[in-house]
Amino acid sequence: MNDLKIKKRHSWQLFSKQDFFELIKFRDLLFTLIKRDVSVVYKQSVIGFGWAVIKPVVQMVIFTFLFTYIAKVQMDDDTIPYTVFNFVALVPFTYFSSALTASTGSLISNEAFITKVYFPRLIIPLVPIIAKLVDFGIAMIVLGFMLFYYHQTQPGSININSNILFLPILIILLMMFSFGISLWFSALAIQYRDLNQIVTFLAQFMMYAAPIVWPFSRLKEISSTLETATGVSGIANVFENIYSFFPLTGIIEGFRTCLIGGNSYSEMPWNLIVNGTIMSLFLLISGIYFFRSKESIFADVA
Amino acid sequence: MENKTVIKVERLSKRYRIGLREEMHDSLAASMAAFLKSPFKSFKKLKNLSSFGDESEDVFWALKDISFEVKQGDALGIIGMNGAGKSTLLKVLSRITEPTSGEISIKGRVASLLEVGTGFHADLTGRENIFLNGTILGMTRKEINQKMEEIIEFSGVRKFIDTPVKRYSSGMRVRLAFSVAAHLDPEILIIDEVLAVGDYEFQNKCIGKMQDVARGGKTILFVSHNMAAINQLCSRAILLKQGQKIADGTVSEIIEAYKNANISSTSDLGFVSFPSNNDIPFQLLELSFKNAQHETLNHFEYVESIFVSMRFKIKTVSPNYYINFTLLDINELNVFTTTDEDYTDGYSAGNLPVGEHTYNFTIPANTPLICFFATGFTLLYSSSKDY
Repeated sequence: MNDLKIKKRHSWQLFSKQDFFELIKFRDLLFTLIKRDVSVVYKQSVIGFGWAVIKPVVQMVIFTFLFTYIAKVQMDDDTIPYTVFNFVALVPFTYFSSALTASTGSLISNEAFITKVYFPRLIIPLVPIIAKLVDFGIAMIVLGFMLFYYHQTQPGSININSNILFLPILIILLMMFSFGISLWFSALAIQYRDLNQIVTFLAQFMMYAAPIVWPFSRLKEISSTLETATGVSGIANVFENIYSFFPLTGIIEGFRTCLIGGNSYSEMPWNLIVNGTIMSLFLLISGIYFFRSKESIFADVA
Repeated sequence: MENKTVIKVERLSKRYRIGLREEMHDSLAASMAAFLKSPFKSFKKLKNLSSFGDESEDVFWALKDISFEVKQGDALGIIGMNGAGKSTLLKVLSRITEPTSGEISIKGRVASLLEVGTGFHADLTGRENIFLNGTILGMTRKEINQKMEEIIEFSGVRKFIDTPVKRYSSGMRVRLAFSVAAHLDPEILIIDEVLAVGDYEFQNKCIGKMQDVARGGKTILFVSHNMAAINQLCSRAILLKQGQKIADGTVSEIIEAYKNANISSTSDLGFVSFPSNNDIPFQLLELSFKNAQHETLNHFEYVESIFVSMRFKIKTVSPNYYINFTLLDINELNVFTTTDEDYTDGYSAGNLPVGEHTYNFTIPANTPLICFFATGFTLLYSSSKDY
């Protein structure tokens, strides 16, 4: 039997093989916590899981009204109904923002465990990342019905093709990005509760920064406006390059290619997806490192 | 095999930062400046929770240079006053918090029970909570499934097992939680003061269960203020004081040392007399606690009988008052109460003739009181005034 050594851990001891086995050993805890999170959200509620449908649908209705009748968004392709254009992006974004918010506050809301029991702490922020997939799945089913409806009533608007096979890759990327940020935020939030406030702003900011209500092709206009405004030549290019590393861009454009298709979404936006993956991996690895280095003080600062 | 060391603690220390009093401002300008500076100050304060620079005055050593060993099959009691560092020691041993310096090596699967019912979720049913609580304590779902029947049986809440826990009484919750914990099957069991909850019958059941565990060759570390329980369960004990280990030995030696350390800090309450007051028609004069040898003491062994004597003076005969003797445990819960009131013939202290009287009570030996220091007396006069 191996001796268990307890002493002050050095910060460079990031993630050993033992830590990994320990994580495997505690997988039942992960499942139980996920089950708890999923079943508790809609307990003692009349509509129950119906809320997972209502929330994104209401938002989509508001956006459709706002951006097609009031602030008219110029679409590249008039054959795509704005409702579909918007909802396809809103479904992954809703997952992202709810997973991020829940995960950031996860260490705080599970403080009782952290100060009383030992288990691999990484489990705690991981739970909402997986548990929120249930809401995401329900929203995807609603999206499926919507796509079917437009496919039947407006021929030519929805052109799903073999690109849909890439959807799982996008979902994994979405989870990686969400978990990467969440690791940073949750580890900070337990000591600095300000993060709980910051994350609300950040989610809102990202909602407009990502091409959710506006088509990605409009980025060119934004960057050239930036160039004329600042007078720095070439800044438009730099801006577009930096922007391509924003993982939500690749994910959302990818979702549209997978689920809408047609002329404007015929090719998977691989360069956006690859850059987004690089960024997500960077956040994830640095996030694990940061989380692990903070882990030992959670029980003391909670 | 029997004498193998399973826990070895070497020069263990743990440091915390404690809150210092905020500075006060006496002018508007100073307060304004402080308001503007406050985000920086709060940041520094929050940051300091985890980082220690110089040894300033707000650094507090919860544990300092503690070393000891525990052999397989030992039941070690950890005794000390509030703030002695007992819980911190258990937290470090359970890997909840990291030591500042020093090292511990542990052989075997550890389960620690620092709180009964950790992770219970009010909205989930009893059964779902067994899974939640069990997996948090380190069991697998398979193990829990195997032991489910036993757990439900031991808890005695079978009827409500599929009801959300928020509808449980607090006692039922504790029963269920302890039942889960009792069915952990670790090689080393770490238990903090968890017996202070639950009724007397259940507490006995818990101690019984832990004794079974100890007899099965498991190692137990047990923190409690309940000397009777320590005495019953443990073979060895250590005494902590202000983060340092001050004694290590057999349970009776350590309990003795603990009580001696305690006496100096409390007043001698073995005998109390009250000043005379002429305005009241009834007066308590003296209260004393004696052992069988008629020595007045303020602490008694578990195996000793306690003789309580109460002297009082009746100045006016009145049926309105009676004497009420109540024994409280450490949580100020009523263990038993007795009164001299007799409804059948109207006899009570108020009907005694004018003059001095003495009442004697005996608390028999081996009374399983949860705390024998915290015996309380309530004397009712006109059934509303406490003396």
